[in-house]
Amino acid sequence: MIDNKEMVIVGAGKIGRGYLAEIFGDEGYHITFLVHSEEQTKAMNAQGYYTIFRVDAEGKPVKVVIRDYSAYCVKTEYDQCLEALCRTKYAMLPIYPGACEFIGHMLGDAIIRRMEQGVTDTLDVYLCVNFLQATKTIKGFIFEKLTTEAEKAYFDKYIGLVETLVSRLAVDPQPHMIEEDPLSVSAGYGPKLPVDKDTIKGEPPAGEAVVPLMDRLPARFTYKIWSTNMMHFALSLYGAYKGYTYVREAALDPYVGKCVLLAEREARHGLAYEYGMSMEEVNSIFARKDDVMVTWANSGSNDTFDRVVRDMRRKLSAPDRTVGPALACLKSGKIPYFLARVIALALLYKNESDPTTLELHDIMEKKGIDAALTEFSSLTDDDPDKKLLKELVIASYNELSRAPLD
Amino acid sequence: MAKRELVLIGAGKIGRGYLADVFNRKGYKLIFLEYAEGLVNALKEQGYYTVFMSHDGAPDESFRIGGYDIYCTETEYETCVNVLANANYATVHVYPGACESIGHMIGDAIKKRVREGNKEPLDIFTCVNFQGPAKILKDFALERLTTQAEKDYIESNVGFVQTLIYRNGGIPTPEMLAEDPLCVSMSDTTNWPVDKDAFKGAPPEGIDNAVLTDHFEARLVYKVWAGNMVHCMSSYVGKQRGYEYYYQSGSDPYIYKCSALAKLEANHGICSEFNISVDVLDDRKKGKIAPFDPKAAEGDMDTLNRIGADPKRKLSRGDRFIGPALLCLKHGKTPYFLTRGAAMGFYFVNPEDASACEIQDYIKSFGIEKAVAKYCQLNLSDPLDKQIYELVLMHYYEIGDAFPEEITE
Repeated sequence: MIDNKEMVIVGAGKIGRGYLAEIFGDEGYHITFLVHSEEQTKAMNAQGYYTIFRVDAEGKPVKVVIRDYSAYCVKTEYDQCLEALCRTKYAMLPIYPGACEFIGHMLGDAIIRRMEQGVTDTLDVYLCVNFLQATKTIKGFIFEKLTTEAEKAYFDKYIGLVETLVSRLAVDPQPHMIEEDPLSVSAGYGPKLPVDKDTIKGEPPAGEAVVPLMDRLPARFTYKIWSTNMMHFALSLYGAYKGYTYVREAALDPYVGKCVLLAEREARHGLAYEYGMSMEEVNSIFARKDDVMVTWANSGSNDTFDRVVRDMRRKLSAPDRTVGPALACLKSGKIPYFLARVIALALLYKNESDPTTLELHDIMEKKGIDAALTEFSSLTDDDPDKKLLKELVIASYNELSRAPLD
Repeated sequence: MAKRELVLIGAGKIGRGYLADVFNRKGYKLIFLEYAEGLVNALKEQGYYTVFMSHDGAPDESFRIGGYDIYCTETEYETCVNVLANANYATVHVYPGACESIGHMIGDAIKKRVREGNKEPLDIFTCVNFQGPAKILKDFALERLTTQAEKDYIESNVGFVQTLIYRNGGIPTPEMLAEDPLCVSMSDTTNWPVDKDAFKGAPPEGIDNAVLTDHFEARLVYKVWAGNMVHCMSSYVGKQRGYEYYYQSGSDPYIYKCSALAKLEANHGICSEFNISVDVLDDRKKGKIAPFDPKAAEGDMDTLNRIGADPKRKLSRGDRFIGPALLCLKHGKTPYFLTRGAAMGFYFVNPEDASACEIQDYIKSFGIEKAVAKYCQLNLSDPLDKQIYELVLMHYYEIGDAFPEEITE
C-alpha cells in the first residue's frame, strides 16, 4: 500500500516550486521534485530549502520557506525518478509543451514498472499546464511506451490524467530575492488547485488544496487559456509596444487595461459560442477579470514580456489564446476587434532569444504577413471567418506599425 | 450660338473662387444667384472681389473679379428665374440642404422657357461634393413641372452635367480679409472634368479646363468617396490628435498612413462595384500611394473645422466613409480604415458647427451605440451593416478613454 502523503512534482519550475509545492506541503505531503536540470537538482539538494516570495489575498508580501523535499534529475537519475513515480498516488505535471514527449515516455516507463511491481494503487497525474489538449498530448506519448494489451489495460484501470486550472502566477524573482536566496521564486496569490473530478481514478489528495470541479471543465479550461492566459499575453504585448519593461507597468496603464478587458469580453462571446452557452451563463460562471489585473499589477513582480510571450508558434496557433477565441467570436456573429489587435501586436513583437518569434519574422520578411498568418495561425482564404480575421489582423498591424508606409 | 454668359448659383468659395475665375478669364459675363441677401448686397455694392490664389512652386497671386451681376434668390426670386430662363450655361455649387429650393427655381425657369418658346439648350453643371446631384436637382425641378410639354422640355433641352471639383477653397487669413472682406482664398487647380454624355447643347466655348470625360458616375463616386474622404479623414483624425490646421494633419505620418490605406479600401469597393480600373479613375497617380512627404501640406492654414464641417452629412450612409465602407465589404474586403475614419468623426467637436453639436448631444443623451446606428444610417439586422456598425464602434472605444465598465456592447 502506497503512502498517500507522497507528492511527486514533475518539473521544478516556477509553478512547481512556487505554487504546487507550497499548497501540498501545507497539507503535510512530502514533496519529491523530478527536475530537468542536473545543476538545479544539485543546488536544491545542497541547499535543502528555497524561498517563495509571494503576496497574500490582500496583496501584501509574504515569505514562505519550503524545505524537507527530495529532488532527482530526470536525465541523470532516471531510475530514481521512476521509483518515485511508483511510490506515489499523485503526480503533478507543471510542464511546457516541449517537455511532453520526454515526460510522457517517462510516465509510460513508470506505469510499466508499477505493473511489473504489482502496484494496484491508482496514480492520478494532474496536468498543471497552460496549453490546450494536454490530456491527449500526454496520453499519446505515454502510449508510445505501452505496447502490450496488458499495459494498456493497466493504464485504463489505474492511471488518471486529470486536467487542472493553474490559478497562481509565478515568475522570475527580483534581484533582491535572488540575493537572499538564489533558488527563490516570486509568486502571486492562489491557494487552491481546481481539478476535473470526473477523471480522477483514485481519491483526490487529502486536504483543502484541491478543489474538485463538477461541471463544464472543458469550458473552464478553455476559458482559462482564452481569457486569463490571453489577457496575460495581451498585457505583455501592449506593454512591449508601449515601451514598458515589466508586466506590472502595463497592467497599470488605463489604455492597455481597457483594450485587454475588451479583448477578454470578445473571448467570452467566443466561449459562449464554442460551448453552446448564453452570455448570461458565461458571465455567471466566470467572474469578471478585474482582480487578475490587480494581481498582475503587483509591485513586487518583475515578470517580463519575453517570458510571457515566448513560444509564439504555439500561442498564435489556431486553437490557442488569441486566434481560438477570435474565430469563435466571429462565429458568434461578433467582430473580434480587440483580439485581432492582440494578434497584430504579436506580429510586431520582437525577441531575439525566442526561436519561434525569429521564425515568424523570417516568414513575414520573406513571404509577407499573409503567409505568416497562414502558417502560424492557419488563417486561410477559403474560410470566410478566417479570411475576415486575417484582414482585421493585417489592417491592425498596418495601423499599429511604426514603420514607414510601404 | 450659345451666349458667352454664365449663371452661377451660389456665391460661395467654389462659385466665386473657381467657376467665376475659369469663365471670367474667357470673357464670359457672370451672373451670381445667391441666397444670402447680405452677401448679395455687399458684392453688388463693392462691385468686385479679390481672389488670393496659392501656387505650388511659384509665388502666390491675387486678382480681382468684377463686372458681374448678382441677385438674391430670396428677395429677387422672379429676376433669378428670369435669368435662368434665358441662360445657356449655369453652374450649381451649393450644399445639399439647398438642393430643394434650387431645383424648384430651375423648374420655374423651365416653365418660363416653355411658356416663352425658348428652344435654346440649358446645361447646368453640378459642382458639388455629394453623390447624385444631377438626379437630386432634376427630381426637384420635376416637382414644378406639371404639363407633358414641360416634362418633354427638360428631357430634350436641359442637361444636368455632373462635374468634379478639384480646386480647394480655404479660409482667408486676417490679412486677406483686411484687404478685401469679400475675398476668397483658393488653390490653383485647373482640371475640371465634366460628364461629356450629359450635355444638351455644345460645351461652353473656350473653357479648356472642362475635360469631357466618360464613366462619370464612377468618377464622381471616386472623387467623393476616395478623394474627399481622405481630406475629411485628415480633419477627423487631426482634430482627435489636437490639431487645428491642415498643415498639421498633413505632416503627421500616422494620419497620412490611415488616409492612404482608407483610400485603398475605397478604391477596392468602387472599382469592384463599377467594374473599372483605378487607372481610369485616377489617371495621375493610378491609385498608387505616393511616399509620405511631410512638407506637402506646408503652410496650408485651412482649418480642420472647415474640412470636417457637417459631420451629420459626412458620416451618413451615402457619404464619404460609410458609402465606400459598404461597397468595400460588399466586394469582400474589410474596411478597417474607412470605419476608423468614421469613428474619428464621432469625436469631431466644434461648438460653432450645429451638425457636430447635434451628434455630441445625441451621444451624451443616448450613447455612442445609438448614435452610430442613427447617423451612419445602419440597419443592424443586415449582416453587412452590422459589421460596419461594430467596426465603427470598436474603433470608437479603442480611440477614446471610456472605462470598459462604461462600454455596454
